[in-house]
Amino acid sequence: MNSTEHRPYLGFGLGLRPDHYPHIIEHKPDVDWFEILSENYMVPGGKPLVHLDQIRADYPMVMHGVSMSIGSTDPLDYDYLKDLKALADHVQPEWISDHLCWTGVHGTNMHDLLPMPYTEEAAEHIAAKIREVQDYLGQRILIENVSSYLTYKQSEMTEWEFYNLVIEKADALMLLDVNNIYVSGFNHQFDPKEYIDTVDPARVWQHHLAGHTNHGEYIIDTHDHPIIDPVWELYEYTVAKLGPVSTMIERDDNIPPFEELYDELQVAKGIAQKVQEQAA
Amino acid sequence: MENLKQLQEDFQRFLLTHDHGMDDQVIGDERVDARTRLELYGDSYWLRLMEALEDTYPGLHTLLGDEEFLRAGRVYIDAHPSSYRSIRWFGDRMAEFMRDNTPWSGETILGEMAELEWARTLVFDAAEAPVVGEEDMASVPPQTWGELTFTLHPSVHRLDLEWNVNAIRREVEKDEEPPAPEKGEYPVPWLLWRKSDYQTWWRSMDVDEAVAFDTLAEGGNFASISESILEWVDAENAPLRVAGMLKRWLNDGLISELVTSNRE
Repeated sequence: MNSTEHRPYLGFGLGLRPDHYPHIIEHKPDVDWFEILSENYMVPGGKPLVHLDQIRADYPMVMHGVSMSIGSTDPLDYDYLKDLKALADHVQPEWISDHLCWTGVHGTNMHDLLPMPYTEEAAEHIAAKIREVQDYLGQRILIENVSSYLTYKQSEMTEWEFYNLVIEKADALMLLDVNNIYVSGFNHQFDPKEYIDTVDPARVWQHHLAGHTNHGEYIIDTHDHPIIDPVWELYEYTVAKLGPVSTMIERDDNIPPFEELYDELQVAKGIAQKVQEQAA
Repeated sequence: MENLKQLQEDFQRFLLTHDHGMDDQVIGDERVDARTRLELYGDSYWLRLMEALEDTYPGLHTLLGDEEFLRAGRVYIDAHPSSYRSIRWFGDRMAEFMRDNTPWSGETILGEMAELEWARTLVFDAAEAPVVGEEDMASVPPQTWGELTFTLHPSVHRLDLEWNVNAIRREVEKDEEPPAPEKGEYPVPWLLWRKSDYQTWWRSMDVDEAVAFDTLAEGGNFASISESILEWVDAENAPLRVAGMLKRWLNDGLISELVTSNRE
């Protein structure tokens, strides 16, 4: 699977956040697509679903989840998957994604994207569960690399070796978060470019970009600041390496007016255009 | 899968208890040692859940003050870890927690405020349903009214509140100085619901209206609702009084369906 010929391309999108509902509904801004947080709409009814439908009528969407806990040693939660599938039937997203992580065991949810140990055992386990989810949903899913702040002693390989192995074994797709690679590269002192060099371009269907908080000794992936220049530079490197991939910006805290995120998205667009012009 | 299972159990136990079972399973370096790396996750777990409680319970936060709200939050998080897919549902047992645990159980306003604030979240994203109006009622032949029952809109919640928690919560929401806590002589019946414009509404009821409403909510028909208020109205006038109440409930958008007894 090396050709990017059949990779769908949505252009440049933003994460849909409640603060921006009125602006989007009123002004219908020139954004190619929106990513929704699946769990926010897995509710019985009310305003969020009404706004979702209004905005979906005008924009393509993708669904991004945080609670599949695909790496957990708990069995898959089929109640969750059933609701996820029902939401997907309603939204008709271009694709569905979640994270290369676990969020809890014994039915408890830590509400955090906890890192996996990078072992053959864990890769086998998580790949089998991704396959099970893909069978249930009737489609391949995208799995995102997470930011991490620790390395387990039992890890046998690098994060990117693990990520590639899991995706290959599961025949799944990648949501490659460029900021997360930068954050983890800083926290674990690896070269982010080495990470990007290893991935199979045909499997990368989406990029995330976001800001973070630098505490000097370590970086926390907070999604509450604008994207910093070194992440833009890494994005440029990524586009040059992997070609045009659907790209969006995540902002989850300290949310600015819509126009500010729109302007930030134009920076991403400009970088991708520049790379493509240089390649032409 | 045994290694992975053990590691996840150890890590989760660390997050819940801050024990030292994970210390020798993580690699530290000269910049950040293993314990600090673990604590980044431990702190973030606690902060995230605390933030969820703050979002849901601003009125309780105001009543308790910053320090005590943090303390209560920490005890709650330890007592009731989340099992929910979405953090939106975390905090569902706060009213019961406030009523059952010292020192908060001594201040009954705290449990009431938590009950009100949780009910507000349920109203916000309750299931959709149609509402019926006066014109629908008018189309029901009067001779069949006695057997008529009603389905409430899924967003409707009934509370009995001794304290002025609604008034306090309203000002907190507006970021204004709330009134001083005040306890009434008797509990006041309240209705909370979501109107078709997706705004949350609430209003108090007189005691006879509350009894009638509760009879309706329990599946009582028009005749039994009329009987339920005989303590306040004579038998001849009770149906008329209930018809008046019903008109208001219909206009408020509280009723989703009129169920006639001959319904197939």
